[in-house]
Amino acid sequence: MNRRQIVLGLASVLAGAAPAVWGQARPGMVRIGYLPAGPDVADQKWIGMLRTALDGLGYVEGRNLNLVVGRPDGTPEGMKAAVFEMARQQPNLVVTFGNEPVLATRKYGMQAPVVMTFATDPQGAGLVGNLSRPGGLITGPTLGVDDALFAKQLALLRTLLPKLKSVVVLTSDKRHAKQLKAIQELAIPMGLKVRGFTARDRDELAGAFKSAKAGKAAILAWGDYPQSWMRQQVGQYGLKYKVPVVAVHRGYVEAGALCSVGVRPQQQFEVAARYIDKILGGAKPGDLPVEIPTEFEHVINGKTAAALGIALSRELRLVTDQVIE
Amino acid sequence: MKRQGRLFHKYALFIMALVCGVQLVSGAISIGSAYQDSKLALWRLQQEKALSAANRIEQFIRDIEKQLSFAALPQLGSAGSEQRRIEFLKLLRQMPAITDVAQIDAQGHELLLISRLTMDVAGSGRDRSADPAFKAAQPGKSYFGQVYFRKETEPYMTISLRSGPTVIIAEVNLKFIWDVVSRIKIGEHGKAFVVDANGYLIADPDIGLVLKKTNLSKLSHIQAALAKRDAEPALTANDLEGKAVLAAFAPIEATGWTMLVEQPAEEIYATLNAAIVRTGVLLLIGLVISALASVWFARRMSRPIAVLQEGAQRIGEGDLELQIVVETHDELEALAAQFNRMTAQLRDSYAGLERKVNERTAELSDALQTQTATLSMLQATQTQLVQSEKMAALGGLVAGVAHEINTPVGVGVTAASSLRNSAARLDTLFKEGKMMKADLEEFLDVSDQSTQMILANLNRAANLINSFKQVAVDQTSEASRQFNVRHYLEEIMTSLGPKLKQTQLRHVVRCADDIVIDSYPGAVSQIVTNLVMNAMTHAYAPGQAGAMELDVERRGDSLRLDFRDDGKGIEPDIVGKIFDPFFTTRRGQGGSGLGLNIVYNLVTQTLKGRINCQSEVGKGTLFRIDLPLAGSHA
Repeated sequence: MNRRQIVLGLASVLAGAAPAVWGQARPGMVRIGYLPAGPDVADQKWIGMLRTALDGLGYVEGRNLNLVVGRPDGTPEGMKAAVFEMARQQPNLVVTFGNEPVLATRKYGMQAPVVMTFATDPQGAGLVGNLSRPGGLITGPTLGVDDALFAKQLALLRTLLPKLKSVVVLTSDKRHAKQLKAIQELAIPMGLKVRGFTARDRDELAGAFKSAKAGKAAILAWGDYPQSWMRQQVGQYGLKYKVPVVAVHRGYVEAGALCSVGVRPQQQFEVAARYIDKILGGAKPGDLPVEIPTEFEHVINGKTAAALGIALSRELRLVTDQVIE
Repeated sequence: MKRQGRLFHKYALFIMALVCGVQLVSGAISIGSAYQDSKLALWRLQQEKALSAANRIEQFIRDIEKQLSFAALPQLGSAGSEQRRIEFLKLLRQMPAITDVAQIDAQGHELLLISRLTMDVAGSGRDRSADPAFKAAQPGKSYFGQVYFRKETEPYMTISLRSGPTVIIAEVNLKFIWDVVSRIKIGEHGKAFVVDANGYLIADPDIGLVLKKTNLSKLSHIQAALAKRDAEPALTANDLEGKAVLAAFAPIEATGWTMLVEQPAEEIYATLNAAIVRTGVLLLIGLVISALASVWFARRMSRPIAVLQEGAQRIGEGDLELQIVVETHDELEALAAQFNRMTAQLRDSYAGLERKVNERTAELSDALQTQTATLSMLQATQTQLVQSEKMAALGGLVAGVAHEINTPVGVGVTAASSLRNSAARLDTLFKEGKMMKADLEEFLDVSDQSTQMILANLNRAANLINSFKQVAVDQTSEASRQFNVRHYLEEIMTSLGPKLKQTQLRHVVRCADDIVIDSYPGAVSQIVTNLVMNAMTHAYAPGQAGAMELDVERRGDSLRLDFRDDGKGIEPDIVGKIFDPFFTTRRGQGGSGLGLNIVYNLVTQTLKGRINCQSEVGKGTLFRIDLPLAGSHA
C-alpha cells in the first residue's frame, strides 16, 4: 500500500464521517440535471444543444458545471427510477425535455427547480398555474400557444399534399383526447378527417403507420409522450411505410419525417439556459413567466418528399425555412 | 528663548493659513464646480443614451411600418389576391415580429389573414369594421394601436395603414424589441427599457418582467417620463427593487411610448466620486506641500531675526566679542551689521572704562595700603599703650599690694622687735639676777600685747594675700555646666542668709523659672556674693533698712542681671574707679578694694560679658550685667 492509497483511504473515511457534504456539488460548481422523456432525446445531439446554450452563458462543463443526465427507458417505471436517481444526485436544478418528466418530478416530489423544454401547453397540462406567474418550482419555455401549431402543421400537410383526406394523430393517453378534439375541429375547414391512434410502444407505432398507409392518411406526431422518445422510429416508419409525417420539430424530419412546424430546438435550449442562469442567480422559478416562442420554423425533408413524389412549389419554398436534402 | 520662537510660529501660521486657505477655497470651488459639471455631463450623457435608444426603437417600428407599407402596395389583376398572399408570407419571413397580417376591404370585411400562429384564412369576410385599427387607418399615416397583452403575458401592438381602398392590419409581437433593448448597453449594470403610455413595461432586458405585465407607473421617474416633465436632463429615482438609479427618458414619437434608461446611482457616481477623490487627494498633497513650504519660508524669515535677537541678548549679557552673522542680503543683514558696529563701539568704550577703573582702583589700593600701615602702626602703639597701661596698673597693683602688706607687716615687725627688746632686757636682768617680779610681770604684759599685735597683723596680711589671690582667680578651676538660673540664685541668697540676718536689709530675686544657661556657676555665685557684700558694706549705714533687688531676664541671646540697691549711692567722681583694683573708700576698715574688681574680671573675662554701674547719690546704685548665652562657656 503506497502513500497515495493511504491518503485516498483516509479521505474516503473522512468523507464517510461527514455525510452532510457527501453528494453535494463542489463549491463554485453547479450541478444541473437533464431529464429527457426517453432514450431518443438523451443522445449527445440534444445534450450537446443544452451544453452549447449553457456554454454561451458561461457554464462550462468540468469547470463550473456538472451536467447529470438521467436516462429513462421510455416506460413509467423507468421514468420513476430516473427521477429518484436524479434526486439522489441533488442537482441545483433539473432541465426536462417534454411534458412527461415534468409530471414525474411533480409526482415523485423532486425538490429541485425545474426548467422545462419542449413542453406542450403547460397551463393546459397543469404543469404551471399561470403563464405570466407560474408559481411553484416549474417554469421554462413552451413549444407553442394553445393549439395554434396544429393548424400550421395541418396547413403545411395540406400545402404539400393537396389531395390528402385524412390524418392520423398519434396518442397514448386519455389526456390527449382534448388535443385530438381540437385538432379535429381545426381540420374541418381544410376538409381533413382526423382520427387518433394509440401508440404507446414500437409495435403499436408500427400499427399506426400501417393503418395510416392503408387509409392513405398522413401522420401528425405532436411531440408529447411517448412519441417524443420514439422520434427515430417515427422518422424511419414514415420512410418505410411511405406515410407523410408532420411533426412538432425538426428532430423528426432529420430522422426521416416529411416535415415539421415548430420551434428551433437550439433556441428552445437557449431560452432554457436563460432561465437556468436566473434561477442559479437567485430568482424563484415561480416568478419567471413561461415564455411562448414566437419563431417557428418550417422544415421539409427533401429526400422524403421526393420519395413520396411531392414537388416543392414556389410558395412552399417561401414559407419553408429549411429543406433537408 | 528657543531658536524657533513665537515669531516663527506666527509667520508659519500666517503663511500657512494664507496659502492653504486660498488653496482650500479654490480647491473646494473647483471640486464643487467640477462635480456639478461632471454631474451635468453624466446626466446629459444619460439623456443622450435615452435619445439614442429611443431612436433605435423608433427605427424598429418604422422598419416594420415600411415593410408593411411595401406589402400593402396595391396588386393588380385577378392574380392580385394570390400575389397579396405571397407578399404577406414574405413579410412574415422578413419581419419576425409581425405575427399576423390581414387585409380588410373598404367595408371592413377581412379579405385575407396570414398568421404565424393560426391558420391562414383567405376570404373569410369577417367583419372588422368596428376594429379601431380599421377605423383609425389614414392614408399615408400609420395607426399604432395600444399595447395589449395576449394571454395576459405577451405584449402586442396593432399597426394599420390604408392602401387604396383596403386597410392592412398587422399584429406585432413586441417581445422582439427585447432584442433591441438588450443590445443597448447602459454602463455596467444599467439598462434601457420601454414603457407604454399607461406605464406598462413593453421591453426590458429581463423579458420576464415584460411577460409579467409589469406596470411601472407608480415609480417616480416613470411618472415624470409619462408626464414628460423633463426640466432636468436626468433624474434620480428608485427602481422596482428600491435601488437608487439615475434615469433619463426620451419619447418614442411614433407610438407614444417612452424610452427610459437607468443606471444604478452607485455606478454612475462611482466615477464621479473617484474624480472627486482624485482631486481631493491632489488638493491634500498640495496642502501638505504648501504647509511644508510655509514652514520653510517662515523659518527662512524668522531665522535671521532669531539670530539677531539671540545676538542682542548675548551682547546684552555682556558678550561683546560676538559677531552676528546674517546673510540674507537685505535689511536684516544691514541690521546685523549695525549691531556688530554698535558692539564694536561698545567694546571700545568698555575697554576705556575698564582702564580708568583699573587706574582708580590702583590709586585706591595705594591709599588703602598707606592707611593700613598707619592703622597697624596705631594698633602697635595701642598695644604698647595697653601694655604700658597694664604695666602701670601692675605697678599700681604691686604698689597697692606692697602698701597694704607693708602696714601689718611693719606693725608686726615693730611688735616683734619690741617683744625681742623686752625679752632681751628681761634676759639681762635674769642673768644679772636682778630680775624682779615686777620686771617679769611687765615682760609678760608686753609679750602679751606684742604677740596679740603680731598675730592680728599677720592675720591681716594673710587676709590681704588671700584677697589678692582671688583677684587672679584660677578660672580654669571650674567647668561650665547647665543650670537653672533662678534655682541657683536662690541657693546663693540662702547661703548669704546668715550675713543678711544681721542687717535690716530685704532682698528680692525676680527671675523666670525656665531660664537654663550653660555657664560657670562658680563665677556667677562669686559675682552675686560680691555685689551683695559690696552693697551691705558700702550702700547702707549699719542698722539702716533697705531693699536689694536682683532682676534676671533673657534678652535674645543674652542674659541681663540688674542688681539694684536703694542705698546712699556713689559719688559721681568715684563711679569710674569702683572697678579698679584696691580702690576702696574704706581702707583701714576692712575693705580690700578688690571686691568689685573681682566682679569686673569675672564678668568681662570669665563670662565674656559686660558690666556697668549707674548710681545717684541718695537714691541707690544699679549694676547692670549682660552675659552672652551662646559661647558663654567657650
